[in-house]
Amino acid sequence: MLRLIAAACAALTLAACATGPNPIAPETRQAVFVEDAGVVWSVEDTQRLVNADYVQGKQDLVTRLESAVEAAFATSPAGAQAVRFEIDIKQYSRVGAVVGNMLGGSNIVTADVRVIRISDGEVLGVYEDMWGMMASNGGIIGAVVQGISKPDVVGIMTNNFAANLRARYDRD
Amino acid sequence: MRGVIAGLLGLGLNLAGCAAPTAVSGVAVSDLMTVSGRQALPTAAHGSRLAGQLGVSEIVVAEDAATTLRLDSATLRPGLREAFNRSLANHGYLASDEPLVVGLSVTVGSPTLTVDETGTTATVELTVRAPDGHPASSCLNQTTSGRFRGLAPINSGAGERTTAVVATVLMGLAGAPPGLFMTDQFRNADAENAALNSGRAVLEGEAVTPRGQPAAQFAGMHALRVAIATYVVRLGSDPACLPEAGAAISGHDVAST
Repeated sequence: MLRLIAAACAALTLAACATGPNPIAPETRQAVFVEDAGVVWSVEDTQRLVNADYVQGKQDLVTRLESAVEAAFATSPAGAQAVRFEIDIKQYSRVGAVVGNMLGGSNIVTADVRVIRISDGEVLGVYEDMWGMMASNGGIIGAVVQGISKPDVVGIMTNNFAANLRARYDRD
Repeated sequence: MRGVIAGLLGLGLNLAGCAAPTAVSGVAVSDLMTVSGRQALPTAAHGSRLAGQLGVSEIVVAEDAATTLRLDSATLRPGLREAFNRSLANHGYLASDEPLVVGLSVTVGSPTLTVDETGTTATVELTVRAPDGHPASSCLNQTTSGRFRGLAPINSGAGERTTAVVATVLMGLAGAPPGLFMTDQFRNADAENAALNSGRAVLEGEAVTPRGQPAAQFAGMHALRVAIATYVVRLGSDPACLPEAGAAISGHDVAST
């Protein structure tokens, strides 16, 4: 029964998530391979750079976001032209277990992803408002669970982002 | 009970609200076997007389190949044909029009699998043949093999998933709306598992098998890609294939076959 419900949910997911046409034509998407991903940091955070924990978390996110996106596109698409994914981060928010679960707020990163052909620098398309998050909204239970399990918050955010981007890239 | 059902329905609705699966989705089977530009192999661009001349005319698959690789032959044969042709195209060898100038027959031999507690290694052999008597057959007729190891994924997140289900039931019985919590815990668990496995060190010729994909299938498709890559390398480097091999594989002779 649970599997049936899960299958129905998956179908709903596919049906409900198309938020507009894919900015890159299918034949162009097939003709490329992703050589690397890089992050551009557009969040205004000058005042927070004095916080060592913030800086460390930010650097960790950047490094792992690049590798998560590269891993999600490691074998596909499998074309001949090299492209670079330029991930322009527009929003970055981190909250603790109590705040996230009981007061509101999310561990989330939002970015526009530009697909740039390396040979001539042409922007083939932009995937706007892509996001990755670690959801935390479970109230007391959620705070307790998160406190006990100590999840890899950055790993969840970055891999969720990569999975969302992959799904968007594949969708017409 | 109604709360529990509402929780499960909430799971569905939340997924419908644009959650993405953490496993790579939408990847065509042929993509996994195609040799892309990423490998930076020699191409036909530097004067190869076989540039724009080749294509697959026939795929023959050993009887047990599809079964061993956990693929149905209706998927394997067209997927491999597409992957081989795209690999040729990516390196400048694919003929642009039908009928093909040189139609290659590609045979997949019986794969071998070695399974241990840390992963599955697949070895496959491809035999490529040009039409009988073709002047370039010494170049085109090759047998190549590919070997790839799919590491068993590390599983994680069972605790989060169990907690999510138990909490959903409890919250549902208490009349609280639990669906979002359950969805989020499952989503978090999947993403964390992907993070755990993507951080593992791997050697050349191996990768972590994605969660949910049969290990034999994953290793086998990558082994086929390695075998195709070896063929492409030979097209660009075997002395019998190079321009200085002479008029035997001149464009005229090739085209007239």
